Amino acid sequence: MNAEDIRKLVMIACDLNLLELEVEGEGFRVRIKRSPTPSPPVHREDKAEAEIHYIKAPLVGTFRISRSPGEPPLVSVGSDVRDGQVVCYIEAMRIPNEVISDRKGKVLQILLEDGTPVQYGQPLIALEVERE
Amino acid sequence: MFKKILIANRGEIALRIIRACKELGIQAVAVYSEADENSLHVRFADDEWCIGPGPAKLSYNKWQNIISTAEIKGIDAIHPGYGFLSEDPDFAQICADCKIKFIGPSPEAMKLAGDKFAAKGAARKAGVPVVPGNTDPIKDLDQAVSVARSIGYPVLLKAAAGGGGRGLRLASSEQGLKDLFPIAQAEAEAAFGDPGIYLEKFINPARHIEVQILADEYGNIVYLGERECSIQRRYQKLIEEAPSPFVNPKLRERLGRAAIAVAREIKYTNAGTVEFIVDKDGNFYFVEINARIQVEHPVTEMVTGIDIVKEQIRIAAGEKLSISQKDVEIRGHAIECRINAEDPKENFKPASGEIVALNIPGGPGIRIDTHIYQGYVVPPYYDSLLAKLIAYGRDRDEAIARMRRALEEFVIEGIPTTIPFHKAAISDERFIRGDIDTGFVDGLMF
Repeated sequence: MNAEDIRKLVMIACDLNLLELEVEGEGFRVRIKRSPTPSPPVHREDKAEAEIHYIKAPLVGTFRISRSPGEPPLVSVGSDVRDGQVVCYIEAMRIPNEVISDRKGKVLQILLEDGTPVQYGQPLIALEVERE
Repeated sequence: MFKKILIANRGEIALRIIRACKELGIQAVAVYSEADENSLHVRFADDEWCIGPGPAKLSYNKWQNIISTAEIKGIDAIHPGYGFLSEDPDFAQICADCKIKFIGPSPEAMKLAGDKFAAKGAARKAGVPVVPGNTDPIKDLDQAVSVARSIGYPVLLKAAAGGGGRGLRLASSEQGLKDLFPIAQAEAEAAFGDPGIYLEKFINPARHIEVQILADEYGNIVYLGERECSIQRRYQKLIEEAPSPFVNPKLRERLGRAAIAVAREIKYTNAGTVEFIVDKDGNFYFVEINARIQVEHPVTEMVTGIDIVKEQIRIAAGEKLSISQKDVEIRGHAIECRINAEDPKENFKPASGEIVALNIPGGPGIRIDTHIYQGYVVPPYYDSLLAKLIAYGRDRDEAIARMRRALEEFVIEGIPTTIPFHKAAISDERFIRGDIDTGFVDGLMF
C-alpha cells in the first residue's frame, strides 16, 4: 500500500459517496473517513492512464464472494481480473449465479460484505482499468 | 392481515396500491426499473428495490428478480396490478410455491380465465350466452372460411392466446377474411408466440359492458354493478362510466347474475371483471373474464363506495367478504377519462418526454389517479397512461359537467396528450344523450 493506492481509495470513497472506507490486507490497514460536511471534489488528472470501473449486479439476490460459505473468495484486493472472468456470485432463489467481469483490470475494492442483498445494477467490485 | 406487500408494477396503479396498503397499515415495497428511479411509486413506498433496466421484459416482467426481492424483503404477498405479470398463471404458481400470497385468483382459475375457449366453455356450462364462434383455435384458412359461413359475416378475428386488442381484425366478407386471416395469424404469432385464431360473429352496433365482481375464498361472490366501456379506439378503452346509461335495473341484475355464474363455474376468487357485448335490444353475450384489477375500477368505487383494492387485499389475506349483495347500492354517476401521452391529431401516436408544466384539476367530485408531476420524464418503455381523471356527480349530467370543467383545468405541457380528444368526446351530442357504441370514436371530430 503506497500513497498512490491510498489516493485511489479516496477516489472510490468519493465516487460512491461513502462516509467511511476500511481496507485490510497483508501487513496493512487503511481507514478513510470523510467529514459529514461536503468536501471539495477530488481533483483527477486528465492525463491519468487508469480509471475506476465498477462491476455491477446483473440480477437481484445476495452477494457472495465465494461459491459457498467457507470457500476462499474468488478475488481479493489486488487480484488481476480478466475480461470474462467470474469474480463473485449472486445467489437468487438459493442458486448461485456467476458474475462476470466485463473489463480487464486489478481489484481495487470489494464494495460489499459477503451475504449483502443487492439490487439490480448495484456496484459490487471496483476495478482499476486502463482508460479506454 | 399481511404485514408487508410487494407491488410488482409501476405508474398510477402502483401508487393506487401503495395508498390502499397505507390505509390498511401494511408496509408497501416498490420495485422499479432504472427508467423509473424518479417515479412517485418509488418515493411513496415504505421501501424500494431496483429490479432491472428500462425494458419491461428485463424488469417488471422479470419474475426472478421480483421473487428474489420478495425473499430479501420478507414479503407476505405480491400485488401484481394490471398488465405485466398480473395475468400470468405461471407467476401466480411460482408465488404459491415460494409461500408468497399472490393477490388475485388461483393459478388454476387464472389459466381458465386466460384461455378464451375454456372461459367460453365455462360460460356455456353456466348457462350464460356467448357470441357465436368456434370452440377451438383455428389453424388454417379453410377452417376459418367454413366457421365464418356457419355464423355469418361480419366476423371478428382475434388472437386465441392474446388480449388487449392486439391481432384483432374485422372481416365483412369471405374475400376480406381471405385477405386478413394470414395477417391476423402473423400478428398473433409475433405478439403471443401462438398463431391460433379465434373467430366470432361481429355484433354491431354493440356496447361493451363489464361487470365488476368480488369473490372471497369461501364461495361468496357479489357484483358491484356494471361499467360502460364502449368508447374505444382500436379496442382500447378511452372513456368508461358507471352505471351504463343503457342498463336498467332489470338488465343490471341479469348481467350481475350471469357474471357470478361464470365466476362460480371457474372457481374464481378475488376481484375480477366479466366482460359482455350487449346489442341494441339488450341481448348480452359473455366475452371474457379479466383476472386482475382493471384500469377503470375507480368509477365503480365512486358509485358503490367500495374500495376494490383494499377488498382485494382483505380477500387474499383470507377474510370473508364484509358485504353481501343487498349491501351493494349504486349511487350517482362516475365517468373516467384516460389521459394518455398520445397525440390524437397524429393518430394517437405515443409520446415520451418531460412534463414541463402541470396543473391538476380539483374541486367537488373530482378524483385523479396519477403518477405524474412537473418535471417528470415519461419513459418510452411502458404504456402511455399518464392519469385517470374521474368525475363523480349525483347524476350523469352533473358528472359530465364536472368532467368538462376538470378537463378545462387540466394542463399538461411538454408532451401531447389525449385531453383535446376527451374535451370533444364529452361535449359530443351523442355522448351527452348516452347514445354510444363501440363505433363512437370513428364518428368523432376533434
